[in-house]
Amino acid sequence: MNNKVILLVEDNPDDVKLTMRALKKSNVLNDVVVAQDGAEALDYLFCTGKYAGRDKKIMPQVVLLDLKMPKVDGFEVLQRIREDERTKLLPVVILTTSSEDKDRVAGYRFHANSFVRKPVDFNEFTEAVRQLGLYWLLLNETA
Amino acid sequence: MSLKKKLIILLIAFTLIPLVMFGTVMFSQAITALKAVRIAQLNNIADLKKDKIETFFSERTADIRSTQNYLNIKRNLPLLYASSGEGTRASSANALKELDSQLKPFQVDYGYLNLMLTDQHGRVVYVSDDALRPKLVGKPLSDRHIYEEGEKAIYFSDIFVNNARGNTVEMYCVAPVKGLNGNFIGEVVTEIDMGPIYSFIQDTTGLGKTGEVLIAKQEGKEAVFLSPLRYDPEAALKKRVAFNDTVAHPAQMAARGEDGSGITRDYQGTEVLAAWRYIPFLRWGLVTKINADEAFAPIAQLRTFFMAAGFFVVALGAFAALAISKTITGPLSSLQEGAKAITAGDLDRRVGTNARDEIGQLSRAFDVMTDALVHDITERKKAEEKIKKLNEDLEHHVAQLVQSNKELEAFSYSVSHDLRSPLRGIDGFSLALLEDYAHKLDDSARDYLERIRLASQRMSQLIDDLLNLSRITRSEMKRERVDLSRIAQDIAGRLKKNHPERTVEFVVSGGLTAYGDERLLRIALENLFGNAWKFTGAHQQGRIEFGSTQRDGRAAFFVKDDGAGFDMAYVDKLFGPFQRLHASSDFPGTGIGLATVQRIIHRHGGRVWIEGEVEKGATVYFTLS
Repeated sequence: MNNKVILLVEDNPDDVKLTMRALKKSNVLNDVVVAQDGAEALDYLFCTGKYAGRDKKIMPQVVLLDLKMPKVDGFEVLQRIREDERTKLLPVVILTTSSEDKDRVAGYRFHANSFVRKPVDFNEFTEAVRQLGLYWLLLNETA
Repeated sequence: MSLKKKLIILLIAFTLIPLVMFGTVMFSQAITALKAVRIAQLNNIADLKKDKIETFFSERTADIRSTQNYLNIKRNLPLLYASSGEGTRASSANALKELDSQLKPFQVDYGYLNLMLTDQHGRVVYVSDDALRPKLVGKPLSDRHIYEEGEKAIYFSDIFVNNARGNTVEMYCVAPVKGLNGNFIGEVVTEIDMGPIYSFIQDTTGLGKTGEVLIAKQEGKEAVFLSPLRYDPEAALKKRVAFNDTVAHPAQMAARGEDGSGITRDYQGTEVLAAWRYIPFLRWGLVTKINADEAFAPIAQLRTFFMAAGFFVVALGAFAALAISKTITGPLSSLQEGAKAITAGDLDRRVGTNARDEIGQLSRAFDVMTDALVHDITERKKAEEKIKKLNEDLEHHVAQLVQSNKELEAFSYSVSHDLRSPLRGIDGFSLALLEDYAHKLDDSARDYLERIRLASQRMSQLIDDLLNLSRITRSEMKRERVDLSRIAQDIAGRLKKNHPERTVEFVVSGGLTAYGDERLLRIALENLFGNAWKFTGAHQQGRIEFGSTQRDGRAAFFVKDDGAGFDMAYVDKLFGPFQRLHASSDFPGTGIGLATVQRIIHRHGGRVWIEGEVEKGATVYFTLS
């Protein structure tokens, strides 16, 4: 389980911290790689930029993707992931504050595996993260 | 077709048709009348000629009758033919002298060419004409037939050409002479010159230019012309025509002994009007005729006159039509030109004339109409300008509205995203404090942190409500027939199921439907039922009713409860977002429900209002267009 990395794409440091805490409280002990924005996430995934030297064989078990980010937003990251042969089948969970229908519809149209709205209540948030970890890290058999 | 052409055609039709009808009747009557007149004329002339001929020949008969009884002849004739035998020369010479003394003056006085006596065998014994006497005396009469006829009675011979006397055309009249003892002793022969007879036969007085009178006789199966013809002077005794021939019909008829008249063909084949008569004792057929052309010349004249008159009338009609059409179409075309000019935009053009007739009135009425139209058009143009300006303003406003809608959308999005993130931080880190540092906090600090969390969660709820309200305003409407009663039953059922501890009676009228967006109407009813449910919560038991009633002549639906109610003094505040009349502790909520309902009803073109009384309940009414 330890070799399974989670890529968290999130620009808000508070949210990063809270997500990490929620993961910890849910006993998800995997390594979490944090990308501050979409561009960094893509660098990580395709081993470019500051991640140029990283081991290409390691691919995240799941990508937790925020939508609203500077530089490259979540939809674009998702689109690039689905376009590339290497990352086409990577599980991507959109984790966002938005509850707009159009965002949800767009997310599924770009073949997101799941769409989760971050609740304000931290207890609820922890519960959502717990379920996500359970599903994507333990139960789901990756393709 | 232009008015001018129509008028001309009409006038010509109205003049020409009666003219042609009248002319036709006139012609046929004139032809009939003229024919009758002409035929009568010809008959008269024919009868007159016949009369004259008969008179002439009866005089000749009287002449010969007196001659035949002359004692002189009775006594001296036998002496003459005795002398030719062996009679005494003296007595014969004396007899000749006596005869000469009476017969020569007779011959001259009565206009005969010659007078002869024959003996009882037909031998000529006396010739009054001295020149011929030596040639003829002692010879038989030229034609034996004449002698034989003359033996019986007075007889007129056929006309013949006498070669002996320079080809004169003449005829004999013979009569028997009886001696003193009453025995037949010979015949007296008068030689009649045809010249004078031809003269009066050929006198065509009263027959016009082509008129002709002729005589003919039958000879076997032919008719022989006896007189010189107008178009054939040598025809006498020479020209013949067979009885079955198609020409010379009048001569054929006359020669065959018929009397009559009619239109037929003459010897030249010309169409003629003819009358024919038979003179039995001469065996002559008499024909008077005139060419049909000439006979009917008055008709031709009449026709010419009628055509001239017709032409004149038609010309007059056409001229009248032109004149009338000009007086009509002239003003009309100026009216038309005026109308065209006005249509083309020359609104100052006027066509009125001073003419007192209908067209003048029309032109003035047209001007009045133009004035009114120009006034109208000016007004309308002003109105159009106004509408155009209003439309431009409206478009501008719509564009602004679209812009602000977009802005609102962007705003909503960032509210949804950006405002909620810090809240999550506040809540999350408050919880982290509570969980991780509980041992360092006292009760008061923990209470504050709990309050921070509640406040952030409540703010999150407010944001969600605000977003929902904005979504209701923005979402697309799908109008269809919606069963409101069924929706109300659904909601009531769900409320009861979720709160089995409550005793609330739902009264939902059946069959209430409306035309609108089902999703939005469901949200509205959910809010109304939710409110009713909430505000009946403080009572032991409640009653919530959904039904319809009549308000201001329109069907209004209502949701009525018997809950907490409200003070009507604050009724105006109820529909504003986040407006509340009760403490959150009494009845939880953000105060967005009625605002949502109002937006939904307004989007349906309806009206919503609320009536209530403290602790008696509230009734929300709404209408849908």
